[in-house]
Amino acid sequence: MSKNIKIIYDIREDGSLEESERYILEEFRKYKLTSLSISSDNFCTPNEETTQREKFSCHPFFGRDKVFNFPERILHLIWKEHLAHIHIDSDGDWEAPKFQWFTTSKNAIIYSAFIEDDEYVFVIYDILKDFEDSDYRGAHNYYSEEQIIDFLELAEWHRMHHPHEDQSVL
Amino acid sequence: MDNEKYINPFKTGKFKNPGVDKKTSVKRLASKLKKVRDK
Repeated sequence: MSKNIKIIYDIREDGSLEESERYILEEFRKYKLTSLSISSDNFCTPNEETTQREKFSCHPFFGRDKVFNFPERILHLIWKEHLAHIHIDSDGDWEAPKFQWFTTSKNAIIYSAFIEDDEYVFVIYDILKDFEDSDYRGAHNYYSEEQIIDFLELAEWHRMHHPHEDQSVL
Repeated sequence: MDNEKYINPFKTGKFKNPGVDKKTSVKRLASKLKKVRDK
């Protein structure tokens, strides 16, 4: 992998970060670094149909890593901004490892991603504790269409204005 | 990453889950959007 990884966080308006949040973001960077060193073909997430269904996660704190697939009407915008979520083990519940795709929880990070020059840039928006994963669309019913559109607007702002003095960098 | 040696600090109790619920997430989203729209 020839590009660097930059983590931007936009969790709170004031740019603050708790110690536990910082830990999660630092581990996220390690996870993406390892994942992208294995394959950068699908830079935002490891391949959802092959890699994640056939292999363990390259970092045990991180499970299913998925680009949003709802609302279908605006998938082209979701793909453009690479708006995604990844399940994490911030309850310390995971025991026996499963293949990455089948490793889920109610905890997740919401993020977007883009490539700029020699960098993979990931923008973190939230760390959630009540992300639904109870049915096949579960996570994708969590936010309304309007809220997803709002996230896309924020993701576009970060991509279009990067680098910006108001962006908090890990 | 040596997965065998990894110790999750949320499992050991070093950290508590910092996650927020949907209501907080949506409230924050509106606030962050307002900030960038006002620039």
